[in-house]
Amino acid sequence: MSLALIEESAKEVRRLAIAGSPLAVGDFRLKKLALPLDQAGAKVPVFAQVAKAITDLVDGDEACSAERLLSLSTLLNAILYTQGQTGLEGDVSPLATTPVTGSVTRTTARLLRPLQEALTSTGSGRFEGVKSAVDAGSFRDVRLVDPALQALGDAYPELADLVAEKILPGFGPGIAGRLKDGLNLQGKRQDARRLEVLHRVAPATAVPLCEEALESGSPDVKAAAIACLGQHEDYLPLVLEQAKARNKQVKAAALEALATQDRPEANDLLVAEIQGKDLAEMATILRRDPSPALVNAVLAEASKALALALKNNRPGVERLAVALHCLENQRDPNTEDLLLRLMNGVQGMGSASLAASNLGGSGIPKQAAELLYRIGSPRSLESILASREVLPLDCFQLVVQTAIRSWPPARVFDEFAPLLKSRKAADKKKVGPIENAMGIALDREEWAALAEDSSRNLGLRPLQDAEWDPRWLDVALEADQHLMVCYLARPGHPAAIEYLVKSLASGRPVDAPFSIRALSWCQYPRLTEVFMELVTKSTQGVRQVSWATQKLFQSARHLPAADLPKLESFAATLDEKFMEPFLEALASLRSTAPTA
Amino acid sequence: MPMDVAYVDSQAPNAGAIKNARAVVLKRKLVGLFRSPDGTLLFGDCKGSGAENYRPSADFSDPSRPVYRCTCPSHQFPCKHSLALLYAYVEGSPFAEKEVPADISEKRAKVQQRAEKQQGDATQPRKVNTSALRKKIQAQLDGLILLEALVHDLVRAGLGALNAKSARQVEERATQLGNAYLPGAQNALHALTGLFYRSRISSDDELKPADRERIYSAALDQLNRLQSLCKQGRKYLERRLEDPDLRPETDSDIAAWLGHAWQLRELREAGLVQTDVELLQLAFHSHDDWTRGEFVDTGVWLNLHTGAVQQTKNYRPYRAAKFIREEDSCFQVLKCPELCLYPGNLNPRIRWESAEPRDATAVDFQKARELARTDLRAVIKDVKTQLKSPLGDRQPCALVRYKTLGRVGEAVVLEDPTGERLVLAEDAEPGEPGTLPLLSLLPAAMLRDQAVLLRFHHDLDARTLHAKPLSLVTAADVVRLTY
Repeated sequence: MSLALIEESAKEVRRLAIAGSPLAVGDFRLKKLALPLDQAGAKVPVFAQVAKAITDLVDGDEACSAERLLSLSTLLNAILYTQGQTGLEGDVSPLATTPVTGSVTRTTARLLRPLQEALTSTGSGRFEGVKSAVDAGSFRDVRLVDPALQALGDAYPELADLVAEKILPGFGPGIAGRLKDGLNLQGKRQDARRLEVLHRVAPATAVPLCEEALESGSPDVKAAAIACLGQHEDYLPLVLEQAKARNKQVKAAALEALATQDRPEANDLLVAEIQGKDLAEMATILRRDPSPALVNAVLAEASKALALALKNNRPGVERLAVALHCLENQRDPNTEDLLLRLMNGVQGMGSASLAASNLGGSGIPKQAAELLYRIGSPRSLESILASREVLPLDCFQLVVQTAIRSWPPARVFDEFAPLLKSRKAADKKKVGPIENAMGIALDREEWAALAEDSSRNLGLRPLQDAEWDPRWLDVALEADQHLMVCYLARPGHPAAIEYLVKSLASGRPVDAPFSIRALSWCQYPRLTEVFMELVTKSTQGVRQVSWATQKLFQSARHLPAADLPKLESFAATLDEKFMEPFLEALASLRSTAPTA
Repeated sequence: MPMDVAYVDSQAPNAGAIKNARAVVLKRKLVGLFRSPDGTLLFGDCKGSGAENYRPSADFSDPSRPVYRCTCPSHQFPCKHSLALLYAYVEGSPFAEKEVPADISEKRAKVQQRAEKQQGDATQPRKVNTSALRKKIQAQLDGLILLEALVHDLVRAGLGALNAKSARQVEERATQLGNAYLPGAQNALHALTGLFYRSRISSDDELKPADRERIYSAALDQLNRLQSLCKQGRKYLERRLEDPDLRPETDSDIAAWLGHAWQLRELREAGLVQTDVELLQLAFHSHDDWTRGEFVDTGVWLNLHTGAVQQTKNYRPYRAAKFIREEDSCFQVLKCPELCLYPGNLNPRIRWESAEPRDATAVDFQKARELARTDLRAVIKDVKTQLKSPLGDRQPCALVRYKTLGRVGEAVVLEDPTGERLVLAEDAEPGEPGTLPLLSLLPAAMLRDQAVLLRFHHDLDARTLHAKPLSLVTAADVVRLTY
């Protein structure tokens, strides 16, 4: 069969269909194909049909041209559809396979497709879906390998990092080929992640690429390559060389890699950096797990800076602030000695030391007090308390916390309770810090959850076991300190219960969850009724569920579990928009309620 | 009634319903859980937004066709309350035994009566309003004349003159086809005009010149189909106009092309029925066909009795999508007492009224491999025969045994036991991921002496017939490369 003629005819028909069928009438390029097709038709009749269709079209009138062009096209396509090339000559070689960990699982389209879309599209709300799938172990399906690789370049870096850290390494060395194929050493963060994952799944493949990246990679990829090579002792000289780089990103990566290797040549270089002007850039590294040699180097720098700071020398103060920042996680005696020396000299320090440093966000005295508090030895705590009169106001909460840890309850009361009654402006400013210290001492975490405000939580060790002088509650009631009353309320104290019930009726809505928690502690028998009355009051005539109402609903978890049926019946009386969040809030109560 | 979470998931109309139903369970809104003494009915009380509790139930008196009822106002079936009932059941919540409520007994009796009536009706000859039918056929013929005129106008003006704006104008003119009872023809026209713009919502959707060049061959092929549709449709309708008692044609799928919605009763009357059939799903795909304005769920199934590869199609128009159950991948074997087949094509569309699932076993996979076609040359011949028909499905599927999946140069090829080869390539099915890259991630044993489900596609410009692998059938499982 002379297929070339058919193909030529189809090409001409396509051209005429684009240009418009009237142009086919008298078209000489099409017409000249009719004769050879007619001749071929003697052997293959279908060719003669094509020749006739061409002649009808070319020699016909314009009015019929559309119909005839389509008839010709249909005939040609029918022939061409039977002539499609299917095979390929040549030797068949096996497909190179690198099976990955995992397989094609029985995951339905409804579950799989949203994950694939989350990894390959843009827009909000994708991270949570992917993260919960990671937690549920859904990334065992090889159909997610390529979407996950694509997500390495996701515009949302948290998602890309999650993929690099949690998803792709799970597929094992089988994905090394794909990672390597798509790697661009001159690329951006996406390629840096690709190299890091490659190094995790197939270090032997990644190392030569890392070496190449040191020569010709972009800063992002070079930094990743240094981080990878830093894990191999053999490559120490290369990493040392990169520590002298001008590019800050590359240099930081090299210093970080060197800090993980406690080797003399690495330490020499790092100590030189500590002694130099770039100490601040070493802070991230030094706060992790520095070798003793590096800690000593920082301490030496801090000592020098302290000597200058005590002379109220501004550069010295700044240097000291940076050094203290670097020492944040140190608990060793040498660091403690330095801090004690610093504390002894606080009084002599000038205003420069009180200014917030670039790194810590607080002045030198506060930095030192916090570090001593963390160390927590008797002499450290004593040093804070000894300096309490000279420490600035922003250290007062820490002073109270230290006192709670160190002194008997009665002494704490005698020292600080009078401040609640004081009328002096300076003393009034100290009430807030006392309240905060009290919150931390009494399981701050739970109270912070009530307020959803942990901004003032210093992350310091809570003092749940601290004992309190019983007189505090009376003083707090007298001073109308609502939060303190909530903290300290106890069963069998009628005045406190009366105060709290009254505050529920007339106080601010945001205070209600605290009062309910406190009344629950006091085993107030009418709590559920009071709560339901309050819910009714807060939801009447209200259009939407406010934050305060939501928090009020959530405080239902402090009610007696035995009252659950009563609360569920009450839910039915609420408006539909309140019913669902209210029932959700009862969920925690259900888990403790006796089953029917 | 034995069931598991996967079964309950499969009953849900969509993913949202699953989430909402689970939330109902989590929030403990189900306040009473009961089962009938014979275990065929699950029912309960569920808190909702109304003053009274809703009363959802799941009736398994016919396990192959469960009936879900609820007193809630939702239009989704099953609603989240009925689904929640099932989730509570499969998660082991205690169901107290209780007599079937009176209202459900009444409804059951009515269902029984209706089924008996339907059975009685099925044996009665159907009365056809011939004058109304003639009127309808005449309207369809007028519609085909309009369609032909539109097609010829387009060809006279040339495809080069067609752009996004004029394509939309053509669609507006073609709305009359819907009024002329020709929704199938209207969809075929939209498949042509839809090639000329990039999305259904964007106003800035003109194709770039390079993209236009790529669609001309497909557009011309679609014009050929429309012309054939007009010709064959006219002949078919004229025959029916002469004899209104004539049944819809079953030798070809022209009736479906014109938009005839086949009733199961009609398929039974035409003898297009198989009994006691078992089906194994080989692949599934759901996509948004914006030229039709519908979501389309396509399942590719192997008929374990005949070895035929058949398709289910579930169309969910945008406006009603929320209320129509979205199909999903199915990993079980379905036992269908009665399977109805649509006319035409290598992979006829199938439907069933009731089906009972059972777990797929190694025996089923072994049988599937035995049913796979071993002669690639014959498969290709069948495919080409279908493709050369202007109204034939352009993407036929076949289950084929292979000796090896390997590489010739850059191309991935399939070689059958006789040495016949076929180049494998991705196609342009919207919303479906590529599958060839996955092959290299599979164990090497899967690439030798297995069966593969192929979807063929012919490239008119390159003059090639290639196929995309959708699933591999091994002795242990169906390894799905898509969904």
